[in-house]
Amino acid sequence: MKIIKTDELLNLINNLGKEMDIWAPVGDSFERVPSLKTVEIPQGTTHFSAKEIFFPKEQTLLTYKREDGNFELDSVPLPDAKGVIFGLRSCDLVAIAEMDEFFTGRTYTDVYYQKLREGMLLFGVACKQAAPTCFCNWFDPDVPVNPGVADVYLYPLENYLLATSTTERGEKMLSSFPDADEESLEKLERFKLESIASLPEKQETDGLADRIYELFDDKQFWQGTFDRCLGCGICTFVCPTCHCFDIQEEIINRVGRRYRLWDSCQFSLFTLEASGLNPRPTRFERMRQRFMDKLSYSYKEFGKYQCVGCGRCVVMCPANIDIREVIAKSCTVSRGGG
Amino acid sequence: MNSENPYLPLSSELVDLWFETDDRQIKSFVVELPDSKRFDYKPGQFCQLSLLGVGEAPFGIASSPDEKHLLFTVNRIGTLTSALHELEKGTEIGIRGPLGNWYPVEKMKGHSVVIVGGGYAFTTLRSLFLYIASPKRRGDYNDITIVYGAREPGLLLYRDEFDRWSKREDVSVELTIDKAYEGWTRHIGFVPAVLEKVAPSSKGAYAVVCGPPIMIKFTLPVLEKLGFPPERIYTSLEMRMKCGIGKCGRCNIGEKYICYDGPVFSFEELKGLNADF
Ligand SMILES: Cc1cc2nc3c(=O)[nH]c(=O)nc-3n(C[C@H](O)[C@H](O)[C@H](O)COP(=O)(O)OP(=O)(O)OC[C@H]3O[C@@H](n4cnc5c(N)ncnc54)[C@H](O)[C@@H]3O)c2cc1C
Ligand code: SF4
Ligand code: FES
Repeated sequence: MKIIKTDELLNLINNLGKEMDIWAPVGDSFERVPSLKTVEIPQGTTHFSAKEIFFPKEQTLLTYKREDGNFELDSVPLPDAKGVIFGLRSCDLVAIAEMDEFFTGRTYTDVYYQKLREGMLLFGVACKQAAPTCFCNWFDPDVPVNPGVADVYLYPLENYLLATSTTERGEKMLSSFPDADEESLEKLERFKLESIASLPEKQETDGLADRIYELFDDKQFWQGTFDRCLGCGICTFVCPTCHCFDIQEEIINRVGRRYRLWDSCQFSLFTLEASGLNPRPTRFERMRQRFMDKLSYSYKEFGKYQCVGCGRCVVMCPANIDIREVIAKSCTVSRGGG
Repeated sequence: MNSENPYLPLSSELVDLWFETDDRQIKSFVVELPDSKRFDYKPGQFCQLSLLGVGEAPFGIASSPDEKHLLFTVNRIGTLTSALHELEKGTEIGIRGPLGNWYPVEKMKGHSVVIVGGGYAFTTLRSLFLYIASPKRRGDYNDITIVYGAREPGLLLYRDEFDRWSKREDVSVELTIDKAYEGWTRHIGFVPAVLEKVAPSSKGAYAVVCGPPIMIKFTLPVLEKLGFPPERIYTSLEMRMKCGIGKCGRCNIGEKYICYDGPVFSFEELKGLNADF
């Protein structure tokens, strides 16, 4: 554990900024900033997560030229970006670890994701105080103070910060700073306790995956949740672990490209087949799919919930659909009941 | 498969194509890859075929790995499939694959295999049949039975080949059409009924069923009656796909991605899944 003063941290990041982009929470998302001016970040999370830095809303997969009806494939434009992302919350670091596993593991490496992810240095910041919609502790009690996959992870104490790293490149950046003394380590322990205490009472998530799975056919259970859904898909766009995309094609001025763009399981076209068959024809099936995927399928398939408790979908849903209620309600109904 | 970038199609040549059915809705395409060594596949796997400027879609591989070229049989139904139907010999098309899992040809060794197909869903079943019935592997399997049907004779796929296969002594080929038709001398009736009549033995046997949902629905009880347990009945599933490599997230049934964990599943595996339909 190292000690680092506020202006030293700003210098460290702004120096990195001479060779790479600096990303920081600005307004409702992470934005590129010319320089970092403050290490203070708002409580809780930004409305949009940092996922779009590695997994852009729209991204070219390949390009080609069209000449006399023939096509010539150009060399593939792999994205190339270097940056430092400041101000990631721990829930987002958990989500990034899941995205890493999903995109770069499982037989096929998504080189577009990999390329952008590798180019980014992650600076996480521990939560002093959870926001009202935070519930990361339901999945793991220590989340708000966990360094996760951050290169550098910061604990903002009074007028200085403690810093730790989980990667070699993070360690290198911190090597010249002094080790934390006993007093600051004591302060850190208090910080951690206060942080964890600021979170809501934990709902039982042991066995959640099976519980939710069994509620699949229980229409009564989903009532009041599903019949309010507008199908707008904002929950999936703000979710830090949602990774669904569409692949499209366009030709402009003889230059063509195949590109991907964010898609959402909340849209009817998502699963519509050429024959006209749609396995999820109404908003009910699509709403249910999201909760199944977040709270059950992901755990069954990967051993991890694709919900990290960041609360973004709770904040952003125009119909006030609340994933916390789904979890809480599942604890109160017995197997197959409701 | 491009080992560096799974989204990049290999360029391949369309060396031959023909109408497969009399209604001219289904065409077969013979595709030649520049370097055949990069393409090892098993019966049941699929590929993403693409045309620059149009798009990409998944198709089961209809050829057997023993054949020199790849074969695809495509029903004209939407944007890409219509564009494919317009192509001429010699055109270059993009191909990504082989993708997905395959029929359990290893587990089937030493057992009988019953292949049940309907309509244009015989594509990967052709691959399976040619694979297990090839002279070099025929001895590995016991009885091989095909029950295949379409609405009318002109809608059956691979008719010349079926004529040849029907003459073989070491396989049983049972063809059927829905209603009587001039000049048709083989079975008449729906696939499930013909299957029940033919009644292949289920002793240690595997069944593989592909066809329209309604055919599958009525075939399963027949197989059950014949004594096939769900763990020895296989099928190949379809869901709308984009990436084909388990990343774009659209083809799941319950926790399984059809492109990545499938498309081949036993009915035992499907039984426990939360299916939306
Ligand atoms: C594993 C698998 C194997 C298949 N094998 C064959 C085959 O051997 N022969 C054959 O004729 N058809 C096959 N299909 C169905 C075929 O993929 C669709 O008919 C085709 O995608 C329609 O594309 P389109 O562009 O013409 O239609 P559009 O309606 O214009 O579709 C637009 C896009 O949506 C996706 N899409 C639409 N329908 C389907 C669908 N049913 N399945 C998957 N993606 C879809 C594709 O990406 C497609 O390009 C198979 C499907 C799967 C999943
Ligand atoms: S969900 Fe947890 S880690 Fe995320 S902002 Fe809230 S308290 Fe911090
Ligand atoms: S088609 Fe993309 S996940 Fe299956």
